[in-house]
Amino acid sequence: MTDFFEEVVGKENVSEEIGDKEVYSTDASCIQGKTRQVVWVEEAKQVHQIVLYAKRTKMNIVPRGGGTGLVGGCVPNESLVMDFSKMNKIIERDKEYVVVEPGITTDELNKKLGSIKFPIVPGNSKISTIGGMIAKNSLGLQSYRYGRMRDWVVGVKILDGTGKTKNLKGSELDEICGSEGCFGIILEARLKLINKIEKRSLEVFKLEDIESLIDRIYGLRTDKEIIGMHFMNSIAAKLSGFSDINYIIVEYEGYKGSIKDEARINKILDLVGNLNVSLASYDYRIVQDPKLDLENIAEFLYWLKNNNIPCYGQIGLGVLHPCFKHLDQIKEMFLFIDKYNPEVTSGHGIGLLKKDYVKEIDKVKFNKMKEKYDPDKLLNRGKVA
Amino acid sequence: MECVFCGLCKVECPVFKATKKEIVSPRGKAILKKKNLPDRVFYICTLCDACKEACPINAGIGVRKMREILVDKGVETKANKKMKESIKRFGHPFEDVE
Repeated sequence: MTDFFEEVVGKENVSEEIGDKEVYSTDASCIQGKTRQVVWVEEAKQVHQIVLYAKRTKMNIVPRGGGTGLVGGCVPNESLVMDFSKMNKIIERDKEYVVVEPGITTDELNKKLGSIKFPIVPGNSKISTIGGMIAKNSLGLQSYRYGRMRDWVVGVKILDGTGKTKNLKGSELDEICGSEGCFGIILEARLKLINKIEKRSLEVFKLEDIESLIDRIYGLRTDKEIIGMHFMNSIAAKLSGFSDINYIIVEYEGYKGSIKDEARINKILDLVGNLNVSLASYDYRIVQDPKLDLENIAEFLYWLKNNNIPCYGQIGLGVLHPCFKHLDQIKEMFLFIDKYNPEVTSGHGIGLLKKDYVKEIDKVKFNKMKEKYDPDKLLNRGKVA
Repeated sequence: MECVFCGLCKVECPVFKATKKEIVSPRGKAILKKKNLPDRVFYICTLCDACKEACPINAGIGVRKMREILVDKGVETKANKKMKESIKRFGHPFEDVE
């Protein structure tokens, strides 16, 4: 087996060492799995050869990008871990579109694009890869205006579990965006681009109580200049070094906001983008991402406050990230919000962490797609449903 | 602060940039440290502290401490042994400064 992999990717790109296996047995979720072997791939041809080999030998494969997932999405299950960090090239580009390999990060991509940009930029854009973001159908910090990955992916080349290469576009992309690496390994993605916003500003709203917070959100919702709308409750704010009060931080296109200095804007948005990390340092390591209709947000915010749970999120979209110390608190949360019929995930994915909360109708849909793309269950085995 | 394994350090680590291998990244080393697995990989570090600067919570990996443990276990690099020998003989680690 090792001989075969060494022939395909080179000796330096295969490992069965204990250290490598231990490091690749987990991700940012800290959920533990078991790695069989690790390979670092550099081109699509290698991925193809390895998938065909896996099909012959019934070996399961976990594709891995930056390893930034919070739900154990790339935690292996006695799997071959396929690291895409070295498959990170821009294949072609013009002013409106770019075709990239999956291992490129958003920051690397945007740095190379210059005055045009890819607009889905998550808080961890320095390390999260385009492949991983498509797999999760991720949000970015400016998703209030730009939506999520699916809105900006116009084509994807995948290798499915049968070893067939497929070029997906149109409605087929709905099947692969958010499929968490379970239906196909992403080899290339064609992405839409925008012109970089040159003038932007921030406004920070501090709000004592939940009523005034909700009123403020409704007041802001019609403002077309808003690009991003971030929230943190007073518990998250206090733990992260802000004042003990609820915050809404609004990013505008143009100079409507009072903070116009680019360095200060970046500093504040960095803090917002890394809230999960600062809260994790206080042992709030379990980050959730339910999406609720705005009319139900207030009751949920009271529940979080009463239970002393730090929470942040893109509140204008109804996306909240309550952070917990214990797994049983996830169950309590879903018991409370079930009546609002929330979306279980808004971009972090289901992975291993939220399998128990997937709705029956979604499980049926997932299994149908799994049968279509990966009937032998070689890809990211044991995830989602 | 203790590492929370977010991985944001990777992008600034010169060794990770060159190799793209998780085990040599600061997060990789932090995972091995947590699992109590001293590994030769702790020698693959420039001690530049770029990881600490990139870390949102300023967590340190403790590479020096892990190297001490490795040395106590007799796990050393050739360069390390050579430097020790040179310090004993010449009072500095470089042996030949020409």
